[in-house]
Amino acid sequence: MEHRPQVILKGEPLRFEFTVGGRAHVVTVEGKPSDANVSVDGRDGRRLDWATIPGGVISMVVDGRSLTARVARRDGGLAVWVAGRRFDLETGAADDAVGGARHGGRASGSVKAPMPGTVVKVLVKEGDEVALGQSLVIVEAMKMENDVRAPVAGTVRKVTVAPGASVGTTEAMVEIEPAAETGAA
Amino acid sequence: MKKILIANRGEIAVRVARACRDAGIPAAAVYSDADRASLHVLEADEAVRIGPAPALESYLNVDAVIGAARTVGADAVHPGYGFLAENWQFARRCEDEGLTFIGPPSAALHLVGDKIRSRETMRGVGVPIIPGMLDAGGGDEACAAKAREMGYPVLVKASAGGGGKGMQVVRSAADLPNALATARRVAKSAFGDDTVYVEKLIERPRHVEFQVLADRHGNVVHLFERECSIQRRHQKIVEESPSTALTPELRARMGETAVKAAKACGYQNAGTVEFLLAEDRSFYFLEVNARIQVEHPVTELVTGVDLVREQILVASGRPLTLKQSDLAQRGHAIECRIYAEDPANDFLPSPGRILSLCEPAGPGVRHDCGIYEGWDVPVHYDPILSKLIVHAADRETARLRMLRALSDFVVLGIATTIDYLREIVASEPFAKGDTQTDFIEKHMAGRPAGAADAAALEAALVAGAIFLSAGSAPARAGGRRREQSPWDTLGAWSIGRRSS
Repeated sequence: MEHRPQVILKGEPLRFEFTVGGRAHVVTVEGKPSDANVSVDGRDGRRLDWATIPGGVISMVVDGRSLTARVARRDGGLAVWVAGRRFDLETGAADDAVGGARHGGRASGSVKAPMPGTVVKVLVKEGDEVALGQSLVIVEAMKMENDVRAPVAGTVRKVTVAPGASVGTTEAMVEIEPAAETGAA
Repeated sequence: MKKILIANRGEIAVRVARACRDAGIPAAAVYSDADRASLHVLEADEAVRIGPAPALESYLNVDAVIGAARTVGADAVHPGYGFLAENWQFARRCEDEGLTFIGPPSAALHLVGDKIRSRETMRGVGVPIIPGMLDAGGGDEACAAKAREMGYPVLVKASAGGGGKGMQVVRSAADLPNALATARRVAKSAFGDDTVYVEKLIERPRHVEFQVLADRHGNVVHLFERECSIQRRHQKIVEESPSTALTPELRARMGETAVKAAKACGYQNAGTVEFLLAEDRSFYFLEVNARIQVEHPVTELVTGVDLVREQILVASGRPLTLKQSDLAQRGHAIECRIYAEDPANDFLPSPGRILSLCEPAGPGVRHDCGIYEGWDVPVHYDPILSKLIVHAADRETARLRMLRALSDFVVLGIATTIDYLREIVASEPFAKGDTQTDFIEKHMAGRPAGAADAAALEAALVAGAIFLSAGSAPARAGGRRREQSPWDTLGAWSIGRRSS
């Protein structure tokens, strides 16, 4: 993800939008590093003195409290560690054309592996009726067997994997046609 | 010993390589295609490719590992833990090839690796054992009959197993067939042997194990206990020594039993005798772990003994210089295992690139690490990344030190269990030493892992905003471009400050 260089000018606050755990947040920053004003989600601004250090280290002194963050770019946004916690900040996901797969419409019945791995066992076949949460496929990754469960109740339309197959996180392993009442939702 | 081949990967291979080099012995690494750039390869004096990524074709491939030892001219092999560490045929092969296997003799390994036979041996010398199946290789019907006889709940275990792999709690007869099938499949994939057995489940026990060291001359000492009751999916995640549950009298009795157990199987080198400690303080032999354990640093910190160095010395035929009467526990040590798993997402494995890594440090903090910044955690192996171990004068000081160290520990790019471990160590039951093997289900269920406070989230959002806006820093007033040095960015900000 590219971010165009921006220059901080007094009177022109910079605005950043992030999504964390499905919730949208807005941060505005204005002023110079030694004397900035920062506001999160429209709350009262705080006085902030900040410095960046190569390697993604950001030192922030907020109302006298010293906080050190580490930030790294990751797919779709930033990974941030601060105050002993890790956060994934998504940036600009909404208008990102790369996320096209996500807008696949009928994606609800398309079951993908949650992580890359190897298929150990396929527990359903085409035509099977499955309940919500029923185990469909067991995928082994990092020596752990992981149950991949049905995200919707319905009928199995397609099974594209067999034991031993390597799977990624983008291609569907099982396609479920949602049952009528779920499908209508 | 002239050169040691380390038949393993990850943090333990790094740990062993360091012990070799501390002893002035060159260390040779082996690697699969997935591990060419792994830390254990970078840390070794020599390195040999042994095959493609799947462990069966590389780290579990006996011919390839023996071939690698020949290639580098090693005269000894350290197997680490997991992979071939407890494979008696591998140990035998080393013996036949004139290579020193840094572990027990193959006969002892064969005996203790067979949980059923080792139990018979223990019963023979009066070591208490848990009621369970004593005949090997039982089919599903035999397991079902035994379970019926003992009464549910029962535990299904892999005969060749270790580390809880393939182990299943079964609470009713209806669930037994599935549990047996899963256990056999996991055992087959992890150990190449699908033999399983059932035993009576002892509810709410503590897992207390004793470290032993034995030489070729009949000397056996124990180095006290480690309590490893905090487990997820039967995998230990927090270990400590001393145990809060032992009295000096019980400790002495269990230690003597551990030494007796090691002697009964003709054990040599470093090993661990595992016990279940029931609520009434009765204890039962579980198994002998015939290898260096993941959690060995806990013992190293409280006893001051370098166990891997002792392994090397004992394997080279030197008599133990440690005497039981000289050994003592000093202070308290706690270990947390850092896994590439996502606690917020049902502990799904989390392979991928490590974008940022900052290791905790300071007095009493040790980090046995198998990763580095920029490295891609592969999908093919166990998700353990590293181990964080702290030592302090007493348990509470060690606990607070662990909290501090976990808070200082930064891993970005992949999900890890760091936050989750901190919740455990910060919890009241842990602080009180109220640790049974059901700790996680009892005290951690329903706790949203890594539930973040609003202030930390706000700081993260601000940091993210600064990071993105600071991307603009080089855009300062076009014009001359100087050679960039790390000081430039710092300089830019201090100039900004002065001009204010």
